[in-house]
Amino acid sequence: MPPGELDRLYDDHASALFAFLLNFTRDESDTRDILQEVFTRLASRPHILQGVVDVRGFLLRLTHNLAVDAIRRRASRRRTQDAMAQEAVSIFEPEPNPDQAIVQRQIEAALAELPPEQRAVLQLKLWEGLTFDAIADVLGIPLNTAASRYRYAMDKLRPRLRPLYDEIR
Amino acid sequence: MKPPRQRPPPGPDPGDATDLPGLESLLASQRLRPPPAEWRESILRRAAASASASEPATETSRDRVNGQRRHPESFHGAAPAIPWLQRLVAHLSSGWSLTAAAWILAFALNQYSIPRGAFTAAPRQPPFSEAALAEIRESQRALGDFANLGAVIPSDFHPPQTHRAPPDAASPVPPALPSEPRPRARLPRGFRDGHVARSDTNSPHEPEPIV
Repeated sequence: MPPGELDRLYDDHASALFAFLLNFTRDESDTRDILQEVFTRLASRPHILQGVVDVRGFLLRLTHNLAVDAIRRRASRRRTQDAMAQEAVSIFEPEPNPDQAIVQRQIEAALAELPPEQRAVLQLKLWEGLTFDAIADVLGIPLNTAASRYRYAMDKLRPRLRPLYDEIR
Repeated sequence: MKPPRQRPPPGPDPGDATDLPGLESLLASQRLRPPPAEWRESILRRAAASASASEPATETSRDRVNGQRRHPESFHGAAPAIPWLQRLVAHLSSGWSLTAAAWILAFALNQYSIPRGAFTAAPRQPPFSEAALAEIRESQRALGDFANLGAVIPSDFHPPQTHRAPPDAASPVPPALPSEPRPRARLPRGFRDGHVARSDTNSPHEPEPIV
């Protein structure tokens, strides 16, 4: 890998990978470990990016696979994934406005109640702006599964966030 | 009897996208947290260190021969065979090739490792000439005259007969010993009645049998 290439990859993609990981694992320690693993693989095996057109999608797919493995390992240590999702972890940038901070906390709490796979689809759709086709490719799932996971996630979020929504309207 | 299925009340579908139309934009407008700044240097440094550790050790001039990267010492002698082995392994993927290779291997082992009839059979000799046969007969006759046995020819030989003892000697009862006991030989010190005393203790009460 040319010198500086790894730095450029980090600057271009680390934020997206970090946000995806933090929303998926709900664990900052796991997020750091997986992010470290991603860039260690890139440094030790730079040829894996040869011929890759969509580097962001490739890295998200690699990150997702590593995160799934991490969650499986962690599930053996902890009781359930729901218990992991209850951890208070902030995926949003700290908001100086107190009202906006309340909105953030409620959204984070609602997201934490979703299964990790639905959170992953939501993350890629809302904050990465991927199509369902691309999401299906990243997560290694059928297109209909990606769309249905997104719909289930929104169906759960709507009643949960309706009071907040009505309040800020 | 099952009651007729009731239709859901008219109204917005809870999963309808028209419900809370701005929810998606509300969610998407939330700014995601970036990774901590101190992670960058740490992650990149550890990744680079891991990559350098996974590479082979520093290459020296001994690692190259005529500019070409030298194979490890254990494979250096087998380097010319590596492409051939690679082709062989590639062809061995099919079952027929595997069977053919097994036959070749069995043939090679049979041919070079196990002695066969060509080694065990006596070599064919050319027939004797008349002069040679006459010379052999003359030497046999001279040998027979010398031993006073006449001419020794193969037809005169008989298989050795088994020696049989006389019928009375086959009796299991041994011949009677003379009435007068034979004088006992004087045993050297330490020997008692066919036993030898232990040399370490010299105890006459714990003899060890002579083996």
